[in-house]
Amino acid sequence: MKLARYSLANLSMYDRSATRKKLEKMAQKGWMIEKLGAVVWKYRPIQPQKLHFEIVFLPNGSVYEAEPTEAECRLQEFCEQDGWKLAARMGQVQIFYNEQQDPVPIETDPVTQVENIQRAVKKNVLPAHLGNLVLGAYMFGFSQWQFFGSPSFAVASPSYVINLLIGTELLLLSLTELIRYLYWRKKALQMAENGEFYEMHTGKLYSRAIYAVTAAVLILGSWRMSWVFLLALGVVGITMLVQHMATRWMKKRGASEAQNRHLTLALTLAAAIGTMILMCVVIISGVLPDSTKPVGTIEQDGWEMEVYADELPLRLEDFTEVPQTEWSTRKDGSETLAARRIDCTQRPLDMEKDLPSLDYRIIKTRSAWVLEQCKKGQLKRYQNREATEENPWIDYYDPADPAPWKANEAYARMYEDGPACDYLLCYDGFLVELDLDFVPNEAQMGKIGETLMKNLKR
Amino acid sequence: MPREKFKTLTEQMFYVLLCLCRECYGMDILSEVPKITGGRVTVGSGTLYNLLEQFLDAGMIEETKVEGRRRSYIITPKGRARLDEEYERIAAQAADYRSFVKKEGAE
Repeated sequence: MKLARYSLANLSMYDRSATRKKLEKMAQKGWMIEKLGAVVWKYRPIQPQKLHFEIVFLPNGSVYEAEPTEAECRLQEFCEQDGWKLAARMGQVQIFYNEQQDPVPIETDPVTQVENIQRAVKKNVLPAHLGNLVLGAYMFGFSQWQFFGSPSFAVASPSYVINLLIGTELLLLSLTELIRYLYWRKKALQMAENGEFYEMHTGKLYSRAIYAVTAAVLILGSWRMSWVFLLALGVVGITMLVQHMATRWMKKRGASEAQNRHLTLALTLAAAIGTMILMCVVIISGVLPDSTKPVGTIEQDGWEMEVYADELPLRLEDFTEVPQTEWSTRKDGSETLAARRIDCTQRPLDMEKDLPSLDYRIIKTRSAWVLEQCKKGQLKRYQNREATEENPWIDYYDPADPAPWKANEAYARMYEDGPACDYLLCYDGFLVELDLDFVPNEAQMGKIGETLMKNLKR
Repeated sequence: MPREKFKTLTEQMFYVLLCLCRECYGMDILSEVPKITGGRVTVGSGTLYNLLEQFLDAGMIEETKVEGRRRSYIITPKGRARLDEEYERIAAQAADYRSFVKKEGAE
């Protein structure tokens, strides 16, 4: 026989009828609510029976109290006079049940009920929604700044996608909840004037929509970003665990509500910042399985230089004569569901000789719109055609003939004293930001285009 | 237009204040109100708890005794004035009703 059963938390302050119905249904099946959690509720076995349930909000209730407060105990005693017994409580939420067939309801005055719920919402729920709104707006705004500042970096950056998805969800959810509260408040006050109770019946559709949006965020967020996304989930998970353990520990020690709240918040903040820093260190250190790794090191001018031997889609040997020498070839980048960024570098190991090097960045995407934004972003970065006091350096992209490059579009970067040997090339499905040490001739341009198209179409 | 707090009293508020014209324990009001109204009005335990807290905050009642968790209360002059105002309003309504119905009857 099962000793416990669990379900996802399902409670709305504005629609308690759905929760009441669920609890009554569970009681008829032989399960009584035992413990309330932020995410999961626990039930204990009972004799199947018909019970009435009521959910009451105590504005001064707090999850940080070690023992039931004076106020909670007095409310419990009041309710027991009419046969209502306490089933479970958490913070502001108190759930009572009654075995009588037709018990006197716990709340009989709609005006008082509306006033009570408003006080409870203003104390905890509203600040949380406003906090989420601010956080969501910040994350969404930051992701937009990332995108419009440097689209070619942002679209292939897991942090951009995470900020965008989570920021958008937080923004939408908190806005929806605030609108729901304002709508409920207006309707409830109007109906209370007529002596009627009001509950906003949103049914299962609303909670299912929230779960669906969250699932979509998790799936889209983890698409090809596996390690980074797992680390981000780890940050969230560890922070929530620290918050939960800190609250429990302080309750066991009998700490006051204020001490518990302050210490829990401090530890939670420390855990969040600490794990985020750790996550950044892990990503930057290159220990993740899909990070590029050096094959050795050499010493140059007193510096230790890492040597790589990654396969590159384009090498200097593909389009120009270079002497026999050893090279360090590094390929790095990142990928999201929107695009893939590949950063490539080819450098000679022997810095004594005057040998060329090669740097380029490829943005690969199936979306013509994303490609267009990346192109526009790169052109916008370098558009200083006239020297001014604020910006004395002339640096801009000039349209070039794409035919030699076998490209759809081509742009050459220009400095005050002539070509900069940097090029922006647009092909079907990818664009390249190319940084050479010399101005290529038409034959070399053609070989670069052919090699890239051959190796990147795969 | 949302009601200004306690500008007009609901039936529950009226009878809770009425009970507290004499000092009594908060919980006793649960059985007192049905007695006064012949069972017509009942006050829910949660509603009573919240009303006592709200009336205390508004200075309309005050605590007189605390014996463990049992607390007794009594109405304050401010609460009495509010209760009297509400009675005058209801009485005026009743008088308007009688006068109107009598006029109708005469016609």
